[in-house]
Amino acid sequence: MRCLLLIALISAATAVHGADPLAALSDNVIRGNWVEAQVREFVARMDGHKNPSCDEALAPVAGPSGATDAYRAVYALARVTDLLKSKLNIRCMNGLVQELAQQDDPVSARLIVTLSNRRLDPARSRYLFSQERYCNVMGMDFQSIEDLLATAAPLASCAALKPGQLRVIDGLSAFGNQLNYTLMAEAPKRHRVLLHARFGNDSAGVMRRRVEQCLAAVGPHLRSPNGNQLAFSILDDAGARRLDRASRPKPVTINVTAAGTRNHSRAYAADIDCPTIVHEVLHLVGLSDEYHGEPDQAHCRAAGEDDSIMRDQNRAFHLRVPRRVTCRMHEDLSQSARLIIRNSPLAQQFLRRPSLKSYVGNGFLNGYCQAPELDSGNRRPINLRPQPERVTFSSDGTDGIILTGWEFSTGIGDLVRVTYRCRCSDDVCRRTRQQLLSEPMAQFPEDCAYPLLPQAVVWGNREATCAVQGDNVSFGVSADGGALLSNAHIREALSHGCQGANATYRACAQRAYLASCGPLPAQCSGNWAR
Amino acid sequence: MRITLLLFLTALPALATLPRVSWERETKEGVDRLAVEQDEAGWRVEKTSNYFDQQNDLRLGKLRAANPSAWSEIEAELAAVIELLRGADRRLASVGKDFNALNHHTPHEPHIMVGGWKVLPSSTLYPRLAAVLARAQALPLQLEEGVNLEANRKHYIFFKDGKEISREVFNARFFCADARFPTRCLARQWGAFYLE
Repeated sequence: MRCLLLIALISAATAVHGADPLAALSDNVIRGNWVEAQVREFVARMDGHKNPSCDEALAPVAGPSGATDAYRAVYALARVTDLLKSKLNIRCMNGLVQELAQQDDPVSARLIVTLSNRRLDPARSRYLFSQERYCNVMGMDFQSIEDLLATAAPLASCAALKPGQLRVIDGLSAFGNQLNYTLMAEAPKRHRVLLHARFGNDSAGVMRRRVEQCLAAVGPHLRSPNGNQLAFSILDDAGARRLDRASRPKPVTINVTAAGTRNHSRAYAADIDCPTIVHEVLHLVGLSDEYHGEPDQAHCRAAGEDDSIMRDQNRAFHLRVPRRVTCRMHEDLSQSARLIIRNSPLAQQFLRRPSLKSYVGNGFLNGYCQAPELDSGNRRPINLRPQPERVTFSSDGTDGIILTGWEFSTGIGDLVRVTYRCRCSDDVCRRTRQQLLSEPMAQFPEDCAYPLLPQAVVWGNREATCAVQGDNVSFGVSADGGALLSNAHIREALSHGCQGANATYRACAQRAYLASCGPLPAQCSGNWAR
Repeated sequence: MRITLLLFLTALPALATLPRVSWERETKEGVDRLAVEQDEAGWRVEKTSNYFDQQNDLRLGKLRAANPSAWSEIEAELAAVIELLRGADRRLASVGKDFNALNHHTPHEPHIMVGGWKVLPSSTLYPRLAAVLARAQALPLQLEEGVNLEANRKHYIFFKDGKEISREVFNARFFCADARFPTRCLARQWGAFYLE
């Protein structure tokens, strides 16, 4: 990626010098190869020669359409450094300096110093100076300009946008990831985020469509309790070009990876679901993760509330967004078991209740429980009224908990009693135990629990009827229809760069990926992200 | 007495082992890790998941190189990369930075820790280190302590001191996140398998 950027910059440099034949090449990689070949040629001519002759050193070099004058190639190469300094964002610049620092030669050393110098960020000048005026303040003290701009930019970022106004965001979030989007005010409490997304490995546009459809389906829920609403437009290159240059967000590349791989804000697995898409897109507007950091060594992270979309997007969606779900019968099921599910509303009703793993998940079972005990002698038909509870919890009198469930047998389609004996060895388990014994709550909600498998979900669909077609069972799931975002979430997306705004959120979010830090500030416990 | 002890300690030959190299990915559920480390007895590998596996190896825990002499190329490549990183830190000191200070974190992104350096996928050193770890995995390794999932996925077999100590039925509905493959299955205290 960095290489392509470099190539693009080189091509920009050559394009400025219109006579350069490289500028005519449309393929970045071919152009990059030519530039690299020319650099090698110059180095070969001069390396090891104390006084290379002028004729030899500056002889024409090979180019795509024959020999090219040396000065044209040198011009393009020399301009690269200037372009890098003025155009690269801090993330790219730091990566480039990292690579240069591995080269043990005086040229790299000079470049490191040059590229690491403080520079005037073009974005900062947007609010006070036109490009022309900015370039003409030759007599003004450089430090004064920088100080002035450093003060002016955050002030400009704090001003509320009026309907129709746009603001380009180009900077780092509180926790250090690169943000590139354009904010557009549509109404006093409604803003649209314009994201210029390039999806890698998505030539057919499948992922782009999935992201667009997901964001459109849950649009009404992307709001905060105080009534602010955030909408998203995912722009492709053509869409971005339709914006005027000053309002155009820089592109964000999101690679599509193999199904089943881990998602992050710049890489989506081919089977990514809608809750995770929304969670990852929100990272791109400056929201940090809020789930407990210990498992991923982010020991400083302040956890958000249980139902925050940045803590547990599945839970947030399950609680807030109504949906129509289609579940498929597991291949383990016998024909008679399938018939029972197809024909018995009672069976369908039973299977839609929260299963054991909705309450504890496999992490709890693996960590604290023995292998399940199947009581084959304790069976009952699924059609018999009254139906038993699908799961019950009881104390074993000490530090343990007994989870008792009725499982739908895959063979003849009746219910079999299963018992899990678990023993707590830490406080995490004890807290879960306490919760289960006092007020059981489905922590890991799943609409299709074994022996049903998730097949499809249409978020935002409110049709409630239950329908069976072949091995598929479809039904509606209600939800409270509440806001998926907190006030602080939306404030963060809207106030990037405004110093002092959203102070509590930022103070806590900046700890999100740190492994070591001071004690958690009091403001970062509880509902800091609300 | 203290001086005598100090003299004794300084007289001992220095053990020049390379820093631990660890390919990692932080997730909500834990850290997927494949690490290699040199010690007095040779080389050992620590795996908390098969996420970084380049070949099918259903073992997690602590493994030891069966033939340490086969690791000389790995040692040389690691030493070369570490030298580059040391040099980078030295040169970046001139601008008041170090290698890690220039890193930009993307949540959940895999990375490679080598010594105290964090090498991100955007670095040209990343594929070199990834290749080292892939090569290490291809060499014969013996499971010292940990778990081996049988190829037919019937049992977890637990090892200690290189010997089997117990077995447990592999119940996918108990250990795995989803009721169908591919899914992530926990393996008691040893980590997790990503199973197709």
